[in-house]
Amino acid sequence: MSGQLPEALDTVAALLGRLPGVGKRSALRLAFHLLERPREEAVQLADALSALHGAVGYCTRCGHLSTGELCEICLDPRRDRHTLCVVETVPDLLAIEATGEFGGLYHVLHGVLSPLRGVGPGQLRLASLVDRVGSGGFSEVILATSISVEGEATAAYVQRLIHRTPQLMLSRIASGVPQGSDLEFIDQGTLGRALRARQTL
Amino acid sequence: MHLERVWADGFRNLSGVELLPHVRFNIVEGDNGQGKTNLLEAIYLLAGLRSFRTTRLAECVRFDQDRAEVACRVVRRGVASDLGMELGGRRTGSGPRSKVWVDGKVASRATDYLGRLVVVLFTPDHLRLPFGEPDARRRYLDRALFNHQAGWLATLRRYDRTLSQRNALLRAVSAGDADRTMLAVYDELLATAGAEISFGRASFAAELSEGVAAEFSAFAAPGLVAALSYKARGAITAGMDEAARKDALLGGLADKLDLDLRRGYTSMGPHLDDLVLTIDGRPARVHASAGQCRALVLAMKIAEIRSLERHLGEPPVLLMDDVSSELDADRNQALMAHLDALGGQVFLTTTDAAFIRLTAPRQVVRIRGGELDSSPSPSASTDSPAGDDPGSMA
Ligand SMILES: [Zn+2]
Repeated sequence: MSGQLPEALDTVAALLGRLPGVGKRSALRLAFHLLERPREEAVQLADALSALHGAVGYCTRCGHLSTGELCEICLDPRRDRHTLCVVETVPDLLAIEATGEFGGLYHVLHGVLSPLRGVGPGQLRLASLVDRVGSGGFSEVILATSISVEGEATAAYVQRLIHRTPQLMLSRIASGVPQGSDLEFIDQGTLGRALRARQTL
Repeated sequence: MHLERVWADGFRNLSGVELLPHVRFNIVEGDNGQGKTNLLEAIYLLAGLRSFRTTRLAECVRFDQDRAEVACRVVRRGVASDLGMELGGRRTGSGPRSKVWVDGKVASRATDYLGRLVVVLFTPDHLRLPFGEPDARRRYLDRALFNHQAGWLATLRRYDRTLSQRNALLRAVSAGDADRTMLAVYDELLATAGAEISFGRASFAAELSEGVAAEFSAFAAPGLVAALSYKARGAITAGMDEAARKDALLGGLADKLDLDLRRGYTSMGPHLDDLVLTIDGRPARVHASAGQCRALVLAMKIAEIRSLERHLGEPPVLLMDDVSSELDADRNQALMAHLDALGGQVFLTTTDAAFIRLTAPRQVVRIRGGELDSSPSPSASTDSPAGDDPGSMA
């Protein structure tokens, strides 16, 4: 069937089909939708997409979204520079920010250890974490990876990487958080409690 | 605990079935393929959010429907609550597969839902437990444990997931794609979860075993002694607590590491353990007669119900799927006498209600083509429906 489609439409459908959660059929439906809508809408989307990578990048220090070299959080003088919170993803960081319970700095790993998916330490921002912590200045590092098997394994691995000193405390968010759910889906009250009730490792 | 109402629509072949059960015995009569087991499956699903026939709930949705709905009103310690579940079918595609609700409010977490309805299932498959594979006996034990602690499934899932990750890591290490020092992380997590499972199962098997020893004589020749014990692999012994089991598991994982790396598979842990059933100290599967094995299973089910009754403070709901047809007349009679004495609500399916020899108050319903057949049954009388006559029991 798709062989009979004009090439341009077929290409758009194939590219949309690469997006997470978009199957072959819905990709085609979206492509048709773009074709049927006014031309300007498609152009607007195309322009926004081509500007995306140029306009938004990642903070070179913490891995948060940023339009410059350092993100707003890293540049904010009011943040507590002695506390570091290690999270899996940017949405996790945003979820913790939304609780208003945390005023320190972050380190985004951009993933989680999973041998099943072929993700090892090399694919995560671990070397920069070790450097950051090793250069001193932090009195507490909070491991806020999710309470899933993968999040626990990642936290345990980070715990082995970071050399504890009398000046540096390592802690883990409390595990009252429901099984298998990522931080993003936990309501803010629960996440705030998990942060407050963190346990020293 | 008892059900006052059961509703199923679009669930397998059931369409718009509403049953107002009797507080004691409900005999669901029907020919094979008419839907009587589907009704038990719907009740079982409402209790634990899982089926006993499939792991893919979409299969439970009637082939020509997008969704199925099952619901019930359960009375626990005198308080009624309405439970419901909506299932997405194979045609639904992506999006929320199913949702559950309690008293009209959607429950977002399983823990908000579980524990309101507790059922014990008894099927002919259970009668084959002594002869079957260890995994069937592990599943039996885990389901019984789940009735005592609703979080048990999450514990099992965490262990299984950790096991899959460790096995994947073993293969990656063998292929030179991962560093073997990473294994320490997964060994620790696996041993922690594994010790919890091993200790939980062993303690529960010991409790059940006492009950089995007491009940067995009712179903078998006098003088024989039946027992259950949890047999863990490696250096784990019966009396060990959870911490000692964790140490033993860690030791076992280390000892077997070279073997595991060659196989790409973890050869130590509760995923390989067994529940050993013995009669007079000898494994039932090798030494006992078929009749003795049946007697042992009957004693296990009665012990399971009694232990749950102590835990809940009232009897659980019992679901029996065509068990009577697999038992001889004597054992059937002994079983019915036990059920009669236990109290509590029972749902039994059968092809012919005349097989069920009961004196207790009961209701007979017939099911045909996925619908309740309201014409009077020729084979058995129908007693008063739910709640009308609780004084006549006990
Ligand atoms: Zn930053």
